[in-house]
Amino acid sequence: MPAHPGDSGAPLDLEVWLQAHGDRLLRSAYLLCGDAMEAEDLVQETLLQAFKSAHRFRGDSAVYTWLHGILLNLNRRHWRKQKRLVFDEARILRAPVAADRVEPQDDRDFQLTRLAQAIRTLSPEHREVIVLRFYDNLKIHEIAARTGASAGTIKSRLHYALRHLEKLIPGELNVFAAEGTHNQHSP
Amino acid sequence: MTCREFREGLHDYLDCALDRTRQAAASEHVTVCPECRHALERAQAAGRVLRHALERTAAEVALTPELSARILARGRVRPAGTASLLRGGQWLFLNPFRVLGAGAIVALALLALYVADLRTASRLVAARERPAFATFTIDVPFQTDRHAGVIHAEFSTR
Repeated sequence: MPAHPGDSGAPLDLEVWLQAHGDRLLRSAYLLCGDAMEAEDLVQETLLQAFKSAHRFRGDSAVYTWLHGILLNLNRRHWRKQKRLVFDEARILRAPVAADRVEPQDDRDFQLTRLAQAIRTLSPEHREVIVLRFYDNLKIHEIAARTGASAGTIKSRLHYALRHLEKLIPGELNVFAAEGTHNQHSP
Repeated sequence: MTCREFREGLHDYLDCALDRTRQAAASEHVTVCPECRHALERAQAAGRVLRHALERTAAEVALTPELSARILARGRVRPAGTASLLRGGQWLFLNPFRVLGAGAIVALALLALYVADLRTASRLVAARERPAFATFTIDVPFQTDRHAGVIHAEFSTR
């Protein structure tokens, strides 16, 4: 049985892909790039590129996995185009995480809002690994396969991304003291 | 298993990606080491919080009918009925190897027709050169005001 409705559809049916995976792709793109308009452009380019290169899809993976791989490549190309916008860790760490823009309703809501803002300040590589790990729920070796990096590189990026978040989140809200995180229950 | 080994393999332990022996050793280790158990619990808690934050952020966007229409328009997708009819053509023209294959099939078909045509022509020539098996002759006399004569017709079977 296919993992998603579109997985069983004809590989060339753009409309089926859009209905089955469009929303999930858009949300993933939004988390990766941090901008709604850019995310829409990314999804549009992803689906059109997939449509043009559909003959290369061998069916070895689910359609969503294939589409998501294209999305990641396009997103990475987008970073490279924006290389002139150099990631400045020191500047980010000096600036508080938009505390003045937050209207806390309760501690939990406040924590999640601060965390979401902190994730947006991560470098593209670190944000990518956080999104793939905790939104797409991928294992280390799966992230490595999708990004083309080694498992060691992914672990390193994850470690430093969590350390960045640890620095950006105020002490009383900080849940990142331990090395490595995951959303699964203890095996 | 040492604490260092446990911390280094924490991601793989959470992924159940360690081999069976090491996975069991890690499970055993957290039962006897409060610090590593604490690290594991915090890792799981942080993961849950991160997941929640990401899902909440992701819910800020959704696929709108306008975006869907824009993508479908750029993909030049026809309504569902005609899309399936066109799919065969797309299948053919999206892959150069398939185009070459189809061309080869057409060329072979043309060659077969040509050979068949040659064989038919040669059979006709050969038949003309063979002696007749039987010959029928018909003579029809006629006469008009100015002419008179006989129409002669001959039929042969070979």
